[in-house]
Amino acid sequence: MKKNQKDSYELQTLFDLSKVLNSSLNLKKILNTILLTPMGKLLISKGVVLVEKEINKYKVETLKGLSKELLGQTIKIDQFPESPQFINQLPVSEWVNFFKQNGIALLLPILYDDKKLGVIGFGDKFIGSKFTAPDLEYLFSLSNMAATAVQNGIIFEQLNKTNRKLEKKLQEQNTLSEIVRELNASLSSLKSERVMNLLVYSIMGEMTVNRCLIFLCENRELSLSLNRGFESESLNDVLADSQIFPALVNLRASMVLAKNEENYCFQKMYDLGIRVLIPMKVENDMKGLIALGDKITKLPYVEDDLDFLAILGNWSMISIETARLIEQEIEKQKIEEELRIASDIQKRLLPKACPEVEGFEISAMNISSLQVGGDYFDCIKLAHHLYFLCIADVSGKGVPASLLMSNLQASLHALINTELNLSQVVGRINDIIYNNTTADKFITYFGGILNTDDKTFVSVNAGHNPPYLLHKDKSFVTLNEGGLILGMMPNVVFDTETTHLKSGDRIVMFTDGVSEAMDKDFNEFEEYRIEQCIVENFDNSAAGIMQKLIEAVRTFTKGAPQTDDITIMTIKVD
Amino acid sequence: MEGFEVTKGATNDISVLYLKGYLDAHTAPELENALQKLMDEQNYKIVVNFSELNYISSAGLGVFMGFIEDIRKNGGDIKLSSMKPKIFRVFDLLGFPTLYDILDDEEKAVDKFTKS
Repeated sequence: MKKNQKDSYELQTLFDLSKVLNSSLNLKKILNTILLTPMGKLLISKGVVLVEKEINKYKVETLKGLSKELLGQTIKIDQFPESPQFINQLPVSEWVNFFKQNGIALLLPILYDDKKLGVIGFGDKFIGSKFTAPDLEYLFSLSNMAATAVQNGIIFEQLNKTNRKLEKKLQEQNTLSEIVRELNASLSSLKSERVMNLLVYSIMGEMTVNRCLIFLCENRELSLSLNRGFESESLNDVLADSQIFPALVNLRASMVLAKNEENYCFQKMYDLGIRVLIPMKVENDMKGLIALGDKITKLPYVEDDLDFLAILGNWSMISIETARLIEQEIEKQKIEEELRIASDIQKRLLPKACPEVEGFEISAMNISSLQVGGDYFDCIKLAHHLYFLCIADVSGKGVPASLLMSNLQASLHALINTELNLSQVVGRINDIIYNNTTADKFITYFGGILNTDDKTFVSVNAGHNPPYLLHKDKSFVTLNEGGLILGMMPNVVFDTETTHLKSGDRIVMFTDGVSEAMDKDFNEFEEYRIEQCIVENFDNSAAGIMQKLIEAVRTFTKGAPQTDDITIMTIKVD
Repeated sequence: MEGFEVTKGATNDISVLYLKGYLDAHTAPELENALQKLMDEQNYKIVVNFSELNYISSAGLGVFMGFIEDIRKNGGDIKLSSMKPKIFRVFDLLGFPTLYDILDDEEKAVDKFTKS
């Protein structure tokens, strides 16, 4: 009766144990139960479970009553115990000694379909009595039962590891997509500095490093763009070495630096604390380089890390390049905006409309090729019967020319209303321009004073394309008298030329933007075409002649860009 | 997108940073500034409370890497506390638990300073 009770109790404990074992996937928990249950039941004070890692090699996974130092140790078991096996019945060997020394007396197999999953070891029963046959039977059935659970636990653990790897990959994906998001979400506010920061933070977080260098590469020239954590003095020393940059620029793929690099440069970098080099490439062109120090976790850099860093680096480089382009574009836009403002100011320096002059028609027009130009014309009423009319062309183009042109305009306006005569005014302006500019900057100028009472036009030509004076009979002369180009020499004396205008006379002034306008084969418009045009259109109004001349130039240059300012002024005597 | 906030508190000589919201590359500089400020003020004993942080990217973790060496060199530490499970998961994935003390709550993190 008592024996029956005991048997049924044993069956019950085995059943309970099997329930516990099969309800858990946690290997640690399973192994714990495998040890604790029989230890309690049979009063055993020592227990150990070893799990197979490689063929014949078993790692101490769980233990009870033994030194914790044994955990994780790997033992080579030459003779796997297929059934319960007493240690003292085994021939002496290293692994047998290991168990003996630690007080293990009995080994049991964990076998799953002939697969050797592990070994359970127990010490002697605490009260000194020997293991009985039923004890062994019980322990053996327990170890058989444990096998399924251990197998499940091992698979689960592997799954967990795989899962973790996947999650790590996912985290890397997140980091990459953050870079991409940065690129896409905020193109307008994208700053290369920001991307660089993002890159560095991501690397430091992902790799657990706190030393990081970023180099940028332009036209195969490397420059250090960012340094985190490297001591700058020794870094600069290494970078100053003329061999270093060439070695880095030629790096084709990521590399892990080893302690004893044969290459002098890589050894220097290793000594500095650099452990990996990752080129950043856009379309296979090296655009930058990442250099990292040790991981704080002291783990080595593995292939996966290098792949990740290369992708992260390349993506960041695309962002940095884009950001740079955007920054340049913004800079360009700023300059263009400033030029537009300058152009507005300059246009305001030219008269909006020519004055209504009784008995005369006066028309003028300026077409600028660049946003700001160097051509100038003006009509200033000096008295009820006196008008100052002029046209001028500043050498060069763009901002420098426009600056000089505004200088001319200001001087003219200041001087023309003084007691000085025309010759003196032009002389003074010549000196001002001469003093304000270098020898290669000058102005061609033609201008004069129209007297509407006596119909005279007193003019000075300072090296300007000679204007035409056309008569009713369509004959014409040019107005040449004056002197040197303005700004070439100081103290020039300018002659004046007085023209007595007759009814029907026309004066046509122009800049070299007209005479030197080029067609797409680089032929110039030339003076003879101007003459042809103004003679043909003699009967038109002043504005009409001007329009016809512009049309003729446009037709001639069709398909070619306008390369110079075009300015025309026409006067018609009623 | 959710924003990010760092607020500062203190327990005795231990500074506590409370993080709230979304810590990624955009918001990482705010945390960096806050940590830099503590460094400038020579407050090297720092607890970072994550209880109201809902997202962290690798770049966010990177910020901690940038400071830890200097802080420890000055006899201090950064201790992390009160992470939501998904935040802890990221720290765990990238191997941070071996580098930093990560505690369940702020009190334990502060205690860790006073006891050591």
